[in-house]
Amino acid sequence: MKEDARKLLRYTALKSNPDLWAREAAGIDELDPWQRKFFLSTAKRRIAACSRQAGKSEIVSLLVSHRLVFRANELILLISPSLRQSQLLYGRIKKCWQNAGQQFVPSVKETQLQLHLANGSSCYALPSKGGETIRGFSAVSLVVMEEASRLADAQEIDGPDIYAAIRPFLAVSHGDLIMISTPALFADPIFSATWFSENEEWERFRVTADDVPRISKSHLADEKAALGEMRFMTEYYVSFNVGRQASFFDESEIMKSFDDSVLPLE
Amino acid sequence: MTTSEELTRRRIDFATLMSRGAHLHEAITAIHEKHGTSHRMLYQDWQERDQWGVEIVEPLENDKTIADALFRIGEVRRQLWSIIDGRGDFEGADIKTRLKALIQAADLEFRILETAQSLGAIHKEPLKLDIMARADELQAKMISICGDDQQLQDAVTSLMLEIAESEN
Repeated sequence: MKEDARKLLRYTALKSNPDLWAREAAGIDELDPWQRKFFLSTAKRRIAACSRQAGKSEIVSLLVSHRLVFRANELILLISPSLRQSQLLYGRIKKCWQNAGQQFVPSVKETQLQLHLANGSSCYALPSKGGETIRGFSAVSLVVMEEASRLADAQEIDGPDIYAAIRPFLAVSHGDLIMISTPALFADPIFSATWFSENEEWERFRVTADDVPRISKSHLADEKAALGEMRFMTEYYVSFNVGRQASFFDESEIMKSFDDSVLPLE
Repeated sequence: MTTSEELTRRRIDFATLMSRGAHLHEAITAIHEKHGTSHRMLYQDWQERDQWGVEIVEPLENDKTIADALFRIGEVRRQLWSIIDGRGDFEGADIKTRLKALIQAADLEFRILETAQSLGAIHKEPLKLDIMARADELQAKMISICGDDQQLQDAVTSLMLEIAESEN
């Protein structure tokens, strides 16, 4: 068989099959069912509320690297609560490209926070504070908001400002938006507000610890004991605690202190 | 002033017409209209063909060989695509046969391209870009054969990767 024909078969196989891409790009034998569904979704708006250790960064790095390699002229922006997190995610994406995509599409420019490929696609990890930098981009194909529930409280960036800046230009460029996060302990104005919005254009993915084969029962028992019921349910079972305010004592503990047998004084 | 290349081309045209059974005056008229050479010169040149005939036999034979080869490759290609699409004699061909034909067709397409490049019929550069366009076609055809069966699609793409990485 001709080398070009081999290359064509390899290219088509990796483009068509997320599991093969995951194996070649990140050494993962098989994606979790939720990861596969998330990868194959064609929704323009995707929001995933995930348990800890669900493989959020893993699937985002696979998805973004796949789009960069197999689609031309993609412009992808990564937004995380801190520069360090953006860099980590960007590093994983770049590694995926190096492992599986570079053989098809070489780079034309690589920096600590930017990757530009020969097919015209590029990826930026955004460290900037506020929405000004993001307003400088046009024709954005995809924005990924990682740990989106923490964006509103982030010290390094102004999450609500960035979110306000993103929406208009995504509408103009018909770009896609992905929010992925473990919920925060209390409602936040970006992630939980979007999750509970009645906007039907969002495809919602709820991923609890039970959906992740890697998380053992014994680990969950240890975590429950260490974190307390409320935080445990938030971190591993995607409980949003909507309507609650931050308080020192857990609400269930407070309720236990009431005793119906004691009659009010008359 | 006629260049040697123009002269050879004219003589090949002349010999081709004659070999197809044209009368001498028909061939002379046709070549005159095409190349603008006078009837008298063409007649004289034809009478002296023993002196230049050898020079054009080889290119003529090569042209014929190439034409025959391209025709045969074209036939194989048509048959492969009939199998892939399950048309004609291959109506109802099983998925395994159709996918095997698809992979063979991918290989054949590149052989045709390479042959055409070596003959100077097309430039070399487009082949690199071609892989991406052809991958789209291959993917679309693979999906049309497998239908919505995701497991089958996965099995086929795994097989593609296996073939791509195999020795033979």
